[in-house]
Amino acid sequence: MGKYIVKRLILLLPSLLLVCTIVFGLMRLIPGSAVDAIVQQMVNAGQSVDRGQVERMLGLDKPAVEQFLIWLGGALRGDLGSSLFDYQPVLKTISTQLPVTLELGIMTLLLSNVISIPLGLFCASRQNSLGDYVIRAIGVVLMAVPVFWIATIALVYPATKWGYAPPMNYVSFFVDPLENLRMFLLPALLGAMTSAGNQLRMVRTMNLEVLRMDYVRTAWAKGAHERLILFRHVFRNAMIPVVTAIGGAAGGMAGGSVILENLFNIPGIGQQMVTALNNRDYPVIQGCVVVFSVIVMLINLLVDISYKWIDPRVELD
Amino acid sequence: MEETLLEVRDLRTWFFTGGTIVRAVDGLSYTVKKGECAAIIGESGSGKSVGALSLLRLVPFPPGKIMGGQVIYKGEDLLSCSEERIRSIRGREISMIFQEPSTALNPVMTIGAQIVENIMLHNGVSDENLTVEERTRWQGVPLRQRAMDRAKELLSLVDIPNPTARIKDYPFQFSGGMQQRAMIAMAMSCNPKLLIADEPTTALDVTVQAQVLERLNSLRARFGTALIIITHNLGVVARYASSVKIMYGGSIVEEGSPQDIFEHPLHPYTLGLIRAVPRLDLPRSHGLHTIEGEPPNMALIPPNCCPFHFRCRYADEQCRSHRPELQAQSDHHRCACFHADQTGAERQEVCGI
Repeated sequence: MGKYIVKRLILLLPSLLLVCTIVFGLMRLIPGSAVDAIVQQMVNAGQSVDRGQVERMLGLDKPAVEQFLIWLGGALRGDLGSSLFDYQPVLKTISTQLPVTLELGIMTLLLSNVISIPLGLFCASRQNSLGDYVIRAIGVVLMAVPVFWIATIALVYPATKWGYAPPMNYVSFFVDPLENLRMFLLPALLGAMTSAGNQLRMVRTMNLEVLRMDYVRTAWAKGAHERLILFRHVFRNAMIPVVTAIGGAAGGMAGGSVILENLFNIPGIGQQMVTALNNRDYPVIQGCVVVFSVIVMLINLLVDISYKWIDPRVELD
Repeated sequence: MEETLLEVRDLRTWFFTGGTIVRAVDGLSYTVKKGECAAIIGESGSGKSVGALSLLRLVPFPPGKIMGGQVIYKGEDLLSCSEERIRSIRGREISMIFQEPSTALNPVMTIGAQIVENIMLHNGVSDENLTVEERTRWQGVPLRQRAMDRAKELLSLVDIPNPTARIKDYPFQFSGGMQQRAMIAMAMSCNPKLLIADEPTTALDVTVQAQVLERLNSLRARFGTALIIITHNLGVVARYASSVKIMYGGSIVEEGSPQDIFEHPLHPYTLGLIRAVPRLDLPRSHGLHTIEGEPPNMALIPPNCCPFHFRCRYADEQCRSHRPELQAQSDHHRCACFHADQTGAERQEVCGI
């Protein structure tokens, strides 16, 4: 197992190099460049600018390959460069904003599972009952409702009706956990609801499939009661595809939800990414993508290891 | 007269699928005596498995539903007792093993955990359920540890080598025959009075089949557990069974001792079955015999007729409009056929008697 993990971690490096190359290449292929944005800003401010000088200042006059190697060399030394606009080191931006996004993502993921797994199990064990229909119908609605709409309602309605709004100033969890959770609970719940609708259906389907298996019949024939059968025999066997989906969702959540971060004034990385993309702020985007890639790869590694833990038949390697 | 352990009376299990009713089991009645080995024979779709699952109310609903009848076990009707009561009987008083051991064992639990589960569910190693000798040996030992020890004993009882190590194995690390023997160990873990084996060897290698059956039979003899073997293998029946029930179209068409069935068959279907057994003593030019027609589509058989009349050379108007009841022919030999007295010539040809 330890050997396997080390091997996977080593294999991470070539993948990462590939990611870097692709991201770097794609960024240069997108029409428009950071220089355009900067020149525009300066012209708007009434300054006269020399385009070539800006390019030289930012090092964008060099051939792309050279730029790439310079950036890669920096990245290897732990320096992802600085923003072309506010001159903040990229690593600093990521290290302050990514944890905020990750907190929201983890809370969303936990809530989504807490909602969808028990409900999915219930629906599977009471297939085609009234409860099953009602829960599935709600699930479909949750899947279909756009998050910006339901989030707006969740913000506006309590505010106008009861004068309640969640805190709008970010406080770190380590400074004031209660205030922090009060701020994050509502957006996390909203994010969880939309993904729970989808996940619930999958948990239900997988459990239904397992419920028809011979070994479940064996468990009934042993005299086991329903709760034991569902949790000990059905649930674990139904978990593999569910874990895969959770892994995928977790990767997505590392990217942050721009809408939720915006609406709830959460200083996460999602908003930062959008701004950087619009400005073609190359170092910020490249840095973010690299960090996200590492996170996604680590999550995938965790998912693969958990397969082995869930199902002893799985051979790692 | 030996004591009756289980009596099935007029059992009906129907399946409701897409508007049609399939009478998979329709009027099944038989008795099983204490400690005997009863064989139920029938072709695919004759309702033998559904009939066995119905005894413990294991037919999934929907689509299957037990529409009527009684299953009397020790004076109690298993079809009308509470859910809690039937759970306490499953796996303890009556246990089951299934056709495909590789799918009947939970793939993500160790063999040991699955046997221990059966023991723990029924307090199989609590003081009140132990012999005096076991009670002294296991004094002060926690229940889980006792159950593990019992599981090891059971595995060695079914010839699994090195049970202390193998108990931690997962089903996929066992061969097919070992899996089925582990199933048997699990089924025997609470000393049941009745073990239902639903085609226990059909999915196994021929060389392993005898091993598994031998083991089942020796456990039956040793612990006095009655055995119902459901099979379509006449060889199994001839060797192990003390009573034979031939099933066709959801009910029993003939029953008796192996001698009755093999040497003096009465029902045209039984005759066809025996005739279909490949024989090495006849020249190859004889070929293999088959029963004409197809196994019945249970959805299409009208309730008021002999289910075999579509394929029967003796069928007449009576067979098409009435369902024959089991009639006693001699002591234990019973047959459900209006023309049981006319099959003599064919019997002479098939059995040579």
